[in-house]
Amino acid sequence: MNLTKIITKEEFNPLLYSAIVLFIVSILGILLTQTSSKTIFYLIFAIFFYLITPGYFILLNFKNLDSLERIVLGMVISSAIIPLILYSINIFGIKISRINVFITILLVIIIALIIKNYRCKNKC
Amino acid sequence: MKLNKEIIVITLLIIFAFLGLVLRNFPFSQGNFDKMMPPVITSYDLFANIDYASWIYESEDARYYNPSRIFGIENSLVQQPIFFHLYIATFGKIANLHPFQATSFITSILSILIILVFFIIVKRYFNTTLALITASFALIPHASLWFFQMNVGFLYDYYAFLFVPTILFFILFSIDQEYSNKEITLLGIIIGALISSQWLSHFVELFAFIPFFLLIILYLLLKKKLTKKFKWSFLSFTITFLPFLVYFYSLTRKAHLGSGFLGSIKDSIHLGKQLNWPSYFPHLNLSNILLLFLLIGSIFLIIFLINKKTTTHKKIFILFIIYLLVFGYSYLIGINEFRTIRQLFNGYFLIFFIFCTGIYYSITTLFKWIDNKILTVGLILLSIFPLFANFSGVYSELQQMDQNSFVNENKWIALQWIKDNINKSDFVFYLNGYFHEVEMLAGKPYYEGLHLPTIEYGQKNIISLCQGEYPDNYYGWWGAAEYHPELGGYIKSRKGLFNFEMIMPLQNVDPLLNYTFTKDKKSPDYVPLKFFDYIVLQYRNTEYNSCMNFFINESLRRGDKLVWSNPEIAIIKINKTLEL
Repeated sequence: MNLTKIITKEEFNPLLYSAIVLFIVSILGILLTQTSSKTIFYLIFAIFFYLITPGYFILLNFKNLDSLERIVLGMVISSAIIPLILYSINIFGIKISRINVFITILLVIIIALIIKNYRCKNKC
Repeated sequence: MKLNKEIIVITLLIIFAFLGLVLRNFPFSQGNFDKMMPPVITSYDLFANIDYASWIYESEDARYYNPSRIFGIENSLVQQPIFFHLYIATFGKIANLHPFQATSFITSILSILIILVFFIIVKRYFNTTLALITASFALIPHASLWFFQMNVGFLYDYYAFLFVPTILFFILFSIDQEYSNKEITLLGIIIGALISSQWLSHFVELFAFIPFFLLIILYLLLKKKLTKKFKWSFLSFTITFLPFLVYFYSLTRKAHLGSGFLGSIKDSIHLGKQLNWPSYFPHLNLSNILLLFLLIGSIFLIIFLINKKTTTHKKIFILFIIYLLVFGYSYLIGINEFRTIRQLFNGYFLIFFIFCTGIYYSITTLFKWIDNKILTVGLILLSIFPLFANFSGVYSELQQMDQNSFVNENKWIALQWIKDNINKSDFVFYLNGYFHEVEMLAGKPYYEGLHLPTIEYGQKNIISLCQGEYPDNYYGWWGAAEYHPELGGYIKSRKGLFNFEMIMPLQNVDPLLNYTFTKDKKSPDYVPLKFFDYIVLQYRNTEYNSCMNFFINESLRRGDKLVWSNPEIAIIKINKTLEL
């Protein structure tokens, strides 16, 4: 799977801009609070990885949304889908450990990209 | 995505929200997320919310109740909506942040997201200017959240508030666009996931909104907007939602009917000075100004409809009418005022939007010479002004709350001692209240004089203590955090979809005591203090010092043992060899 074929530069840029905004916020956090930079880093990573990325990749499957809509609505969708999957697997006894949360998010991203790849085989 | 003014404003909005969060925490925890201690907590149910999230975070399991909330019973299936707490815990796992800190952080993030969703809806169906103004005004009630914290068990509702406008967006989006079968199927899954999340996070709100969504679908059917292609959407939606609907409804059906719809909120008992809570919904009380601009906004929308300006105006207007009908209907069927406020919040994007439409079109019609850019900036500044104007008052209120809030260093050290030195199975009684708080922070089962009708009842015991009467029998309506008689005990195991094996608490204690703790709470009862293993005493070195010293001396005289103390807290081990 060639990633550059699945995600165009235009589709990738909003993620980059989000990372820049988060970077500004993290600098403010370090300057204005007593929180350690390590904690701020983890927080910013969690916002990007948990909240922004999965939903954004899912919404890449809809062509009529603009970038801002994908970022914002993507965050709502991440906030719904990731806990929903974790809730479901937890019913079958799988623990909600850090590694399982991480794998779940990664799987959602990969599946969203696979769907996009499948949809875009002929024409996006 | 170009870096245009719209993105800059959104970025500033996010940074502003972040600053709000920092400012709120600053005087109390110095905005320090590294602290394994909650920042200022101003309410009773906030502890319960954080407690749920902490339990999931630490046990890595969302299926069971925290034993310390249910008489120490282990592995009992939870009958409460814990989805929001699961969200906090899982985010905390990735962020390496304990729910003590992650809870307020996540709630603030959600409030920013809610505003951004409003922005996106109005931008798509109207214009960027109106969207920016709506977002700015919608900021006002959320900023209350950043500056305070919500004073009731409102946090998990907040999660649900995000989903209603998002679901609306996707419904409008689905009827506006031309889609392939694959896209429409995926859209159904997304709407299904959003509704499932709302269902699992707060079923009451979904119940109240069922007529809202049904009316929208009915309208679309009448307008023949729902084409055959939508069958794929309905199918994928049903496949996504149905398992969660059935699984969760069967698990919580008694709670749905018992405490879900008809439940009411009771205040906790605090011996400290009772504060008047600030209004958390100052702009949602339908004040005259809001009503006036709502009316003007509605008139403009009607004018647009008559002029057939766009069909999107019509859609929003119809949504608003449907929403008002549902709002009225909920009020009529007797959902109490508190629930009504919840619903108002749930659909308040529509109210704010109409309000801002009223302001925007009134000014642009009356003052045609005003430049659009100046107008936009002016209105945004106008919306931000109340936040700053209120801040000094809010800040002093927060300081006052902090002085009356639960956690200080003496209490914190005592709580850590309880956590590390008292067995989970031991019965601990916190003589001077703050049950939720101690339970959460010390992680031990608690028993309380629950649901006392007035503060005076709660203080009755202390008053008699101060009059030199040792409370051999302590007065209260007794129970534990999650005990509701109508539930018939706790779930021990699930035998089938609607078949559960139940377990009753306190089976091995005196039948009278069991009855006292688990009966329907109709009248206060006395419980012998000898029932408990430990008594935790607060308020030493306060105006109640002599009363507390009296209690300690009397306890020691009766054979109890003072096992730990500091200038504020004393922990007494009850001599159980003596008969009750």
